[in-house]
Amino acid sequence: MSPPASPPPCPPPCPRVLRAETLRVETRRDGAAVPLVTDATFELRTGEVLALVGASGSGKSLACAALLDTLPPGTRRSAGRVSLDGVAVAPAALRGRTVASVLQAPRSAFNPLRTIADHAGETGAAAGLRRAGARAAMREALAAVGLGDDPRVPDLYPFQMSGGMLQRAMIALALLARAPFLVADEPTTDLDLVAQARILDLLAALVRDRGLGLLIVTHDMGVVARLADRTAVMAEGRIVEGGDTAALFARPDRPETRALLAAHHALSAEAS
Amino acid sequence: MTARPTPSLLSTRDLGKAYAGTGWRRGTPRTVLAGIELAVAAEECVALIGRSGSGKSTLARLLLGLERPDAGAVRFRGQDLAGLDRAGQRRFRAAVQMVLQDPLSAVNPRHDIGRIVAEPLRHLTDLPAAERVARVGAMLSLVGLDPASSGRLPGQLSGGQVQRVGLARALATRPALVVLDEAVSNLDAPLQVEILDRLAALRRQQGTAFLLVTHDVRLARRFADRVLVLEGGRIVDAAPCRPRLDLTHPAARALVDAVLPAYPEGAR
Repeated sequence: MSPPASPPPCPPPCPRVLRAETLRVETRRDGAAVPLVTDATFELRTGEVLALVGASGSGKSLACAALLDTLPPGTRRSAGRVSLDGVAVAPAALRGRTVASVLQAPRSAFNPLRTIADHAGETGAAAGLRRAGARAAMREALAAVGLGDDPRVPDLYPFQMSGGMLQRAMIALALLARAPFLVADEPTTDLDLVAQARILDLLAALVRDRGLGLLIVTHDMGVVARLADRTAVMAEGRIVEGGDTAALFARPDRPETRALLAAHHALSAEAS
Repeated sequence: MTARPTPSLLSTRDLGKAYAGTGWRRGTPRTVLAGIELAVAAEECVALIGRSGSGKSTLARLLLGLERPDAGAVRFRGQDLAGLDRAGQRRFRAAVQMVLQDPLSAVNPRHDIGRIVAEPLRHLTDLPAAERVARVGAMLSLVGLDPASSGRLPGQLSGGQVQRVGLARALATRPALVVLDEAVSNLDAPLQVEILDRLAALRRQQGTAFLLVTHDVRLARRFADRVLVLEGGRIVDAAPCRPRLDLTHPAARALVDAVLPAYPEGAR
């Protein structure tokens, strides 16, 4: 049913396409259904970066969770469909094999009692890698995220690593799965700006060199400017504006986009 | 550092702090701050910037008297914090307040917003109950929250709203200095700008001084009069924000260079 899984993603001439159509997410309040995300449609292609941007509470993380069927308790997807290369798929079947994830708080995403090598072994086994192969794949993945120089890294526990190192390790685990798509929900929000810049450089390089398709969820228009080819702006659970990132910066149409950009420029400008 | 004729509100002299090693490495203390000399004058706004692990939060905790220094001293209006009597401590706590980064862990989830904001008023001031209620309402409007939300619980508000509750609580005693430890760093940009502008207005009206602790040069540049750069537990650079923030130390340049682009490549 699924197309060939493990080989590296298709080169640029034939990008793979992950599409979410008319996603709707609801919660129940006093017995009535309350919509949190309405009619969210977006398309992610390999070799490209799509940013889902919006203020806090705009529904961007929920839309992303609906894509992968990882919605928090109390919420559910009540409408919409997800397709891969035009074929409808169950969102849960995408996770790990087709779409890898990087989360906001790296420290809570790792098992504190397991080393990085343990985590890599688990991910490798899930991806069908065996001992020697898994070990080599882990070394390759750690090298790809800039953790290859220090031979001690695989034996470190999460508490022995900084936030930036953990986020790199999480991206390395995502690469181990050899999924063509990567979803990153606020991957740099908990890092300082220097660590953030390096992680964004790394993500940009992975998209360029390995043809990953990256969906990045963020509230920071600076991250959008640095990374995104296309951008979808969310407000009150809806995608209110979307398209080419450069065009969006040049000609924002909706008040919500203008507000995000105005604040971004107010902070980016040198004090006068 | 810039010389000012007014006596400083809060200052340090050769401040140092070391934490004892833990576990197997007990007994080998690690120096996290050394030789810190800084002074914040009344009505001044200073930013303390540095990377994660540079010692910013430890310094903020020492300035608030939440931890004792291992070397040097913190002085409040010229008096050593360590030598304050009970009444002096109460005055100090009413005059110097703090807002932390993680808003939900800084409030009691079982207390309603009104009680949370009134807490410092009950302990640190002699305001009668009726005036406390009025002050709480005024503080909530000041940070852009509906005074009617004082009956709600923290769990019913968004993270950004709870952060504003923390801000209202810090401002409730009309402090002379507020220390903001990454207090706006996790908010989205529109909210960051709104809150910084509200605080700037408050500073103009009431002369409140601020110490903004952050890793984000953009926030420091927008809000502060001058910037101090902390790296490896020492102040390595200092500069005024206007007309242009001019930092030279490599650690400071790394922070400035990490600021993300204003526009995507190829659009301007």
